[in-house]
Amino acid sequence: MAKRETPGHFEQLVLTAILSLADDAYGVSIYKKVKELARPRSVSLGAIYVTLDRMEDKGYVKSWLSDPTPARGGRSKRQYRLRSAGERALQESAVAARRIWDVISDAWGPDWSQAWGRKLKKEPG
Amino acid sequence: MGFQPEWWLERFTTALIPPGSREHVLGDLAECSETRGEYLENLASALPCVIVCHIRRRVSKGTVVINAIASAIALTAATTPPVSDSGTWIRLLLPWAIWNAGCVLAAAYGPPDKLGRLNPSVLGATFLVVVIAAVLAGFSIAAVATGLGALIVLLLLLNMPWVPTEKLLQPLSVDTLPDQARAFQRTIWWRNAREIGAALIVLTANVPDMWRGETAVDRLSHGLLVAGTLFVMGYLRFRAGSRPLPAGGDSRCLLQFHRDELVRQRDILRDVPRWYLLPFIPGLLVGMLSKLSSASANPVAVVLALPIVLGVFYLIWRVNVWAAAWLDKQVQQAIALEERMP
Repeated sequence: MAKRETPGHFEQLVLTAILSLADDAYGVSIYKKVKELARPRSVSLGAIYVTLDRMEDKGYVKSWLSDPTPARGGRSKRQYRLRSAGERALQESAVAARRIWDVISDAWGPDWSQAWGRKLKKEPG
Repeated sequence: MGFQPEWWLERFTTALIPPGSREHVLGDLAECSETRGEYLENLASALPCVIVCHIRRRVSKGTVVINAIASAIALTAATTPPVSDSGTWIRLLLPWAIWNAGCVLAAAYGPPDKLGRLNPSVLGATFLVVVIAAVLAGFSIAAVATGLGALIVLLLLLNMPWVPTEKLLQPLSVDTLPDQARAFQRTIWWRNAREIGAALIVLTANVPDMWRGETAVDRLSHGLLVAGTLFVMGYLRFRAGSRPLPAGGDSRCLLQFHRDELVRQRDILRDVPRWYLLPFIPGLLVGMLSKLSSASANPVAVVLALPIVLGVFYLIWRVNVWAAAWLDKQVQQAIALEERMP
């Protein structure tokens, strides 16, 4: 039986960013969105490129060059969109995350995430 | 728009980014940077990753292994006196490593629309750096330049005949059939020309030693290598040669010819161990025996040569198995097209 690949944590963040950006998903916008999602961890532009390239190979996303825009000094954007395999992988990851969330909530109480959020604010980075 | 880099900075960045990603990465860098410092910081973070992506896309493990073996042989053969002590091996390691890393980079920076092509500027710069490194390591500049020059010519020759395969990569249809059939025969012609050229080099190196060899066993080994080479040349000429396209026939006739040719060449590639590798085995074995019995030979070096030779033979066989599988897919396409034809 062929080995079924599941997206890693960082890949899940990038897939989520592409999903939320819809038609405006390209290098910089994905980078900014992933930075926001990955807080408080730092993210580099290079890591986004490598992950997008790998996910294109896995068939999770497809990409194409847009027309050049004056806003970027006449440079094109490489735009990304989820393929059905990427959507499926993201759904599976979300379901697994939901199960983890439920187990933790049972163990630590429903307000654990707010307490954790306050702790992170006190200890930045 | 974020930071608009000065012309010199943009030119510098353009040269550093592989051509396949230049357009969007330059735009992204400008858009997500506010200052020159931030631009350079983003460039430093993105560049290694972009290069890694292109290496992953454009360089196969098989090519790296073949290049590593070929460059090791070329550098070892070019250094005079022949590499004998471990110190010389270690000194050769740096030029060899630079050469292989440079070739990988030359592939990563190759033209975006041609996957197999190397970037000539990166290849040329690599050549210069390797020669300088070899000279600093104490080797003769002429010897190293000759060895690497021969390797580059070989690389170019290996690349050149496969140019028509771009046509062969198109899906087979009635419209593309004449072009594809012609391109296939041209590819076969070039392959045979390349093999005959290599065989002539083997003959030039071995024929004189059939008389000049030190011992009878040595002369016998060269004689067997010459016989094996002549057999391979004959096979290429009379059994595996290209054939002219049928003149004046319709598409069905041309398709039948093309399908038969694909099947013939596929079977020839599958049979490579018998007609291409086996004829050299007796000469190589007798040659090894001759070297082992020679008083001046280093028996460890002779024994170490055996796995290298076997490894090269294995790679040749694997490449031909892969090529035969690719031809088999072409045969299936031809059969499918034949069934669709009225």
